[in-house]
Amino acid sequence: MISDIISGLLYGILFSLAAAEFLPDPLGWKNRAILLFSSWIYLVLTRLSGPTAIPVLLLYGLLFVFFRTRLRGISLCCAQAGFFLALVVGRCCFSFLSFFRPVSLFTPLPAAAILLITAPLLKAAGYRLGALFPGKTPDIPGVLAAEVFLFFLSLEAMLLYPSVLAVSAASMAVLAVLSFLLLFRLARLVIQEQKNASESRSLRTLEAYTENLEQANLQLRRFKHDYTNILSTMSDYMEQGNLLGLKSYFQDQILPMSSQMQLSSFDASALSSMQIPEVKSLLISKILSERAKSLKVKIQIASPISWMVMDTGDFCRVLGIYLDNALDGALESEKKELQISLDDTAEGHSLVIINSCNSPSLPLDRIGQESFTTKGSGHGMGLATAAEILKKHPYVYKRTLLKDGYFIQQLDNF
Amino acid sequence: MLKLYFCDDNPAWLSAFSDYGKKAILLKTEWDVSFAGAYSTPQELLAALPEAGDTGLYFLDIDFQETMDGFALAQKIRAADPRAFLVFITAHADLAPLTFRYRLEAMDFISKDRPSSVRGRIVECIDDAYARYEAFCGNSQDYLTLRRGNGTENIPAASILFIRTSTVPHQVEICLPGEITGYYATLDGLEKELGEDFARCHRSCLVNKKQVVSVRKKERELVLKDGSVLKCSYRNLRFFL
Repeated sequence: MISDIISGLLYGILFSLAAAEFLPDPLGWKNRAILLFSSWIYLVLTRLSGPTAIPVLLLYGLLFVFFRTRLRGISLCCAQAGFFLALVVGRCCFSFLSFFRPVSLFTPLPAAAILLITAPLLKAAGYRLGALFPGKTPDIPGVLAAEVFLFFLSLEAMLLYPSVLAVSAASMAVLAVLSFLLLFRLARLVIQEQKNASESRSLRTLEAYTENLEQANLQLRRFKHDYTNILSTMSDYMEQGNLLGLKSYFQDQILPMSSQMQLSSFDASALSSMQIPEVKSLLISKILSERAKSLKVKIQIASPISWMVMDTGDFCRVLGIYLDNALDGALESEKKELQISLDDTAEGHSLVIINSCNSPSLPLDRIGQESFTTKGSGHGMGLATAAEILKKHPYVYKRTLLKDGYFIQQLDNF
Repeated sequence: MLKLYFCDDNPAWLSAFSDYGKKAILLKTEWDVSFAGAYSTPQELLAALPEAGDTGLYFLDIDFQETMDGFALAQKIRAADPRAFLVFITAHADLAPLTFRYRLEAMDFISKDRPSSVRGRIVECIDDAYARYEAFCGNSQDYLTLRRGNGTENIPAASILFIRTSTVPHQVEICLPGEITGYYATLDGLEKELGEDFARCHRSCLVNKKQVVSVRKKERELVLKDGSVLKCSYRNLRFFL
């Protein structure tokens, strides 16, 4: 009984590793644990650790992966490839070790160890090679069908000629090679999917940007039209010498118009000076988002910025966190103002984000620490995460202020 | 002595400003304030900055067509006169973004868009600046000088609440009421520079003793004037009692 449990556990580890390691998005620990324990329990209950358990396990593993991951077709194929690799490695270890000592409980253990070490390397190599060789992306159902067919073919061969080592070795070798080739080609598909996703994201931000520019242009044309009307009316008053009429016209018509212009929607053309595409699209997506529509947003980028000392990805993450905080703070406040400025100072680039704020004071001792938040449960990670990222760039200065009802976040020297 | 300076490249505005300024201080004979000068270009203004000991109240136009812009001018003035009060008079001041005001560290902004209110605003600014100047005077304040890049910044030491090590390596965070500033320095170095009024409450934190309102011995905490609560080590409690 105990030996069954242990061997079940070890085989369970081996196969769940195989299913999990090659996936394009690694399974989380919870998912892996579920896979492991369910395989283990299955193996123990049926007390099968021979070749007949394998197809069932394979099916179970594939179903698990199918339902628990995105990119389902690709994950299926990757899991299969991993599974076959596990089989090969297991079989090789088995045969190898049986030369030295009788088959013991712990035979799967070195196989699992080898798999654990080689899987990340093989996966990385597979993805690199897949990216290097362009070609037709594989058709998933066809691939799956081919694999399953070959698998059962080799299984049959093994079962028919169990004692002929050459047959077993040959079928294993064929499976291994085919699995690796499959993995390489699958990598191309994964990369393609990721590119598509990011392209559709940037397309959406570009659309929002264009729409905003068109709106701004429209407002400008309306203004030009009104302007000529106003001038001609004013010159009329002046020609008639009607100063009182002119004064009242000014008070009633022109002054209100100027205050209305300020409230008009945000003009994204200010972003044209930001020449780093990732930062620009982040700014666009935050400022033109639904939440920001009810705020008075201003952005100022004094001189064109085309480079940054800091890693752009890190900067975008930090900027995203600060902007989220600023948006939340401004939405809660009465004045609903949000202003962003990016300048080139003597100390390098400088970012200032100001939002109107309800808080009367800045809790110096707690702000920026994990799990401190004014927003309710589930929050509190933002500033702590930003601080973690900034740790990698010790030349960057940060300053936080709360002044006259505004919260100011400043970042210098990036 | 608080000195008034005006700078604007438009002669009509310049003479109007000087006029308002002179009249504003005419009746305040008991004040230690004087009219220092009116200049058309930033360069002339910079050539006439006060010597040490005097603080200036500067009314500046930012719309200069020349090579120097408002930021550069403000920085240069502050370099020579760290406690300078800067007031910017400009057209479209209402449209000036908050970030712009913040960066210039202006005491105030006066808008040329409403000419009738300019005089009143100048008088208000003079009153405001003098009140702050008086508060400074008589206290020979210690300043903590932060050197960054090409500029320096001076923070009055008495207003610092505490300084702690930052998550960023080699940096510290200087905490004042409503402000946290990162700076490249060591706590040991700052402890020496700030002197008697500051003591460590634990290895990573230096506290201004004068800002401590109460000490909770049992929980080993210090409560500061702005409500912050800091943990203190057993051995260092004695500095704050």
